[in-house]
Amino acid sequence: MRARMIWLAVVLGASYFIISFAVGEDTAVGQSLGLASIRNVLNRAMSIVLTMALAIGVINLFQAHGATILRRRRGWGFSLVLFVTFFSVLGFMVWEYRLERAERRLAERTQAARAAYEAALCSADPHERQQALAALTPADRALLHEYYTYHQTYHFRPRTFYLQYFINPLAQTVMALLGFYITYAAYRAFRLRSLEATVMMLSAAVMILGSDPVGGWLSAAFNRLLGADPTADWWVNLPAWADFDNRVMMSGMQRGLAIGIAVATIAAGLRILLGLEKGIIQVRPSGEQT
Amino acid sequence: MIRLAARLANLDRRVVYLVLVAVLSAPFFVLYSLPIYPETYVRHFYDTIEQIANDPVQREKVILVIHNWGPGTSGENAPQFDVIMRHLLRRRLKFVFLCTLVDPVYHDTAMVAFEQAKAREIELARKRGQPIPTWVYGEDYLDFGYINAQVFAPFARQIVLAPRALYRRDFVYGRDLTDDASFPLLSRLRSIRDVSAVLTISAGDESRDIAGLVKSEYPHLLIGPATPGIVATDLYPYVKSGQLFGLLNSARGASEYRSLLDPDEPSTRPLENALSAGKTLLLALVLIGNVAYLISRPAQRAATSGPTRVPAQRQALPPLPRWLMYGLFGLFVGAFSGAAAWDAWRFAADQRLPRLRPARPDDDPNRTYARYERVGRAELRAQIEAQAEIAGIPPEMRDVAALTDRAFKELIEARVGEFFIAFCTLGVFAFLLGDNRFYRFTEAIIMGGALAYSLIAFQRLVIEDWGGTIYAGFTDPQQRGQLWWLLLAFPGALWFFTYSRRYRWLNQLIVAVFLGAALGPEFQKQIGLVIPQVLDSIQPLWPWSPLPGGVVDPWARFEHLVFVLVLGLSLIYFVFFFRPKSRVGSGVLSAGRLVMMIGFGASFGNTVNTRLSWLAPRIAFLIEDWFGKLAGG
Repeated sequence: MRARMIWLAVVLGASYFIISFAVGEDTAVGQSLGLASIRNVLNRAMSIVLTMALAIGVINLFQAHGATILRRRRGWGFSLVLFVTFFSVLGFMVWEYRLERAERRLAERTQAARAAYEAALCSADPHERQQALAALTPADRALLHEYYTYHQTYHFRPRTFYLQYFINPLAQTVMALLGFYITYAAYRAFRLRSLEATVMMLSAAVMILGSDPVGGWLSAAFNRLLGADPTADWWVNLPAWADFDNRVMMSGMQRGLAIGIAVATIAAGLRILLGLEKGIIQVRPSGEQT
Repeated sequence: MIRLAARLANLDRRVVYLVLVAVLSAPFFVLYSLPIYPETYVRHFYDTIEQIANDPVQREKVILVIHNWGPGTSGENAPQFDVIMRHLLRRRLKFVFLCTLVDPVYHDTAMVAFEQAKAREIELARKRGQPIPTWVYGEDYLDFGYINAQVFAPFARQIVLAPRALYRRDFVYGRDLTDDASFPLLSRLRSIRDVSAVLTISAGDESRDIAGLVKSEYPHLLIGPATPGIVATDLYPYVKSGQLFGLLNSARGASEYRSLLDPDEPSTRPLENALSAGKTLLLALVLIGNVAYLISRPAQRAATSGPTRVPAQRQALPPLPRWLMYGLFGLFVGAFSGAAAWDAWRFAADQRLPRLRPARPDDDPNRTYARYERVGRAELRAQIEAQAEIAGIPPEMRDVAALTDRAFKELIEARVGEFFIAFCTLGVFAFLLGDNRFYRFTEAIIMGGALAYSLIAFQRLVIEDWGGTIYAGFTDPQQRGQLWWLLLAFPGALWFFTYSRRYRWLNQLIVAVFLGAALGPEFQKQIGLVIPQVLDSIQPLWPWSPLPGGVVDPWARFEHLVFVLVLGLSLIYFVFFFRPKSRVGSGVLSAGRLVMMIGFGASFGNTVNTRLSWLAPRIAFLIEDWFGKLAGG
């Protein structure tokens, strides 16, 4: 029974998209069924329900790291740092939220005065311009002064500061570690043990050098060495070879893979929708995390 | 010799890392530049944007810019975003920002990059003596903010066909997007007929989803992706078939685009040179490793006994001794604190701060100037007074004292921030020595901060959007019909049954619904993607048969012939249900394997581009921005 409900949930999730594909949103039937409106509501609902799952992340964090601190497990200090950061950033966000709300209110409050002022400034005729500026009321002038003074004054933005100087560089650096790993992995693992490995290495070398300015520089140097005319086509042209490798050789292979993947995706999708994929619709034991 | 070869084939990873850092750093000290050669598909991308800008009908339409990238891939996506935005701004095309990733960091990172792109265009106009350009929010561009569409395919049609109904409120002012009166630009964006192109600058392949789900129905739609190299490898066939109009592959794609956009600066910069140097080092290391391997292999095959003993391969590298780790950490703390103290002391002494040196009209083009200069309030004030225009501030309203104070405080903020970045960057890099406390400390900062930051999305999408709709349903009699949105509480509550031992299966229900929603569009998408691919493959192979435009181009036909051969051999290789016994059959399979290896080699090359593009900017920051300012430019 539970397995059947899970399978029905899969079918329910897929049903709109399959009906929409089969009927077509812009056809007479699709329009009478209101498929476009349903899509509109469905997408919004999906976005909201998916976002609700973010709360699980917070709960898990509090569970795992809270327990580590309470039980003084190894590394509890780092869990404490994590909580301090969490609440600090939360504080930053509240701070900046209030700042932004005040800015929005100021913008809305001064909108009419700014529009009149900017329209006056846009006037090409100096006489007309002066008249339009003179027509501004003292209240308008005060609002304008308030708006422009605010925008010329320095305001510390804690969320932006955190974004620019903490989370962005940290996340970038974590991903940058992969640059070290791929260099070492290539050095250790790329051994020319067979014809296939050699061909792959040559293709990779052409791509790495040719897709880089150094490939153009090397090609020019080779051609000078070989006495080729620099104004005519080069004999050695790594950028063109890399371009060819990408557009023709790799692209052809990728298209072959894409066709295979498309067939496999449709077959696997049908199996899931027909309830033949037991791994997906079976009920997990109570101790297992989803 | 054999011992040396064996050692060279088994270098300690930390030695390789050190050499890599040294090589990546060198181009910031030894300045040179190389010409850039744009790839065919980068030219296509650039030319298409130019065509839109030059076509009086198309330029009045709106471009949808889907920016799904964040700090992780900013090494590639940030320069791509920068050049594309600068192109749109320069040609004064109208565009709308859309983000479909729920983490607000993604949205905010792109918006910071957009402000920088605007500033660069203003700076360039100033340098070229052109009028200072201004762009008005709501008239020239709009920010629709973000929604939660982590699985893109179910949302793809809605995002392109009716984004206003999906995003509902603009990000900056929170105005109703379904009302044309909210912003002048909205009256230009009523249906897909008002869209000239969809540009996806992202870490994923959203462009492929749009091509499969929307372009099959609306063939006029132009889709242009800019992605990291690892994703770009999948997208090349779709550019060939015309489903995508061009492609910016990795940071190199951005550099190539820049060379087209700014023809007066067609050569490389130190960051691009660092990337080149890193890639060259990688190839050199592979070469060294292979030569060493070939020399030492015979000796390794023969037993380790005999006159020449070859050192056995080390299986696992030993961690650094504790005293060395503590020593290195102490050295780092000492050096870092010393640097901070030195910078603070200098500031206290002269009240001046380092900043990027702007190009000046009287600069000698044959001279290389320092990247940074130290400025005080007096210089900032003089500069502000000399500026004819300041974007967003009319001359009559200008308060020079306030602007000077703001500029000076922004410099202080940036310098303090740079010290934080340097600390965090070195903290993460500490992991290269092995797991250690310094790294775990920075890891805890990342996790806690990222989670807190993601709660902005919860506040925006659940509390403001969903809660706001329900609140309006209760308070406004005309909105009573909206109360049915309360029903979303039931599927939303199902997520939390993951904490119940007894009812955990209920959590599987909601997971299953989203699995179905991800699966549903796949049928249409795959069919919409594959049919144009097959049709593109079935083209005349004769070199002198004309191309679709009527042009005879034997070279293009030859390329297509090779392409079809590669495609055929790849497909045959995947036919598993027979095993050829003839020599021809085996030969075909071997050829299939070889062409696939060529393709995989190219994919590996693109992966290297990606990984090193993520690393080089971090080294650039440490050398150029942090140490460069410390050393006085």
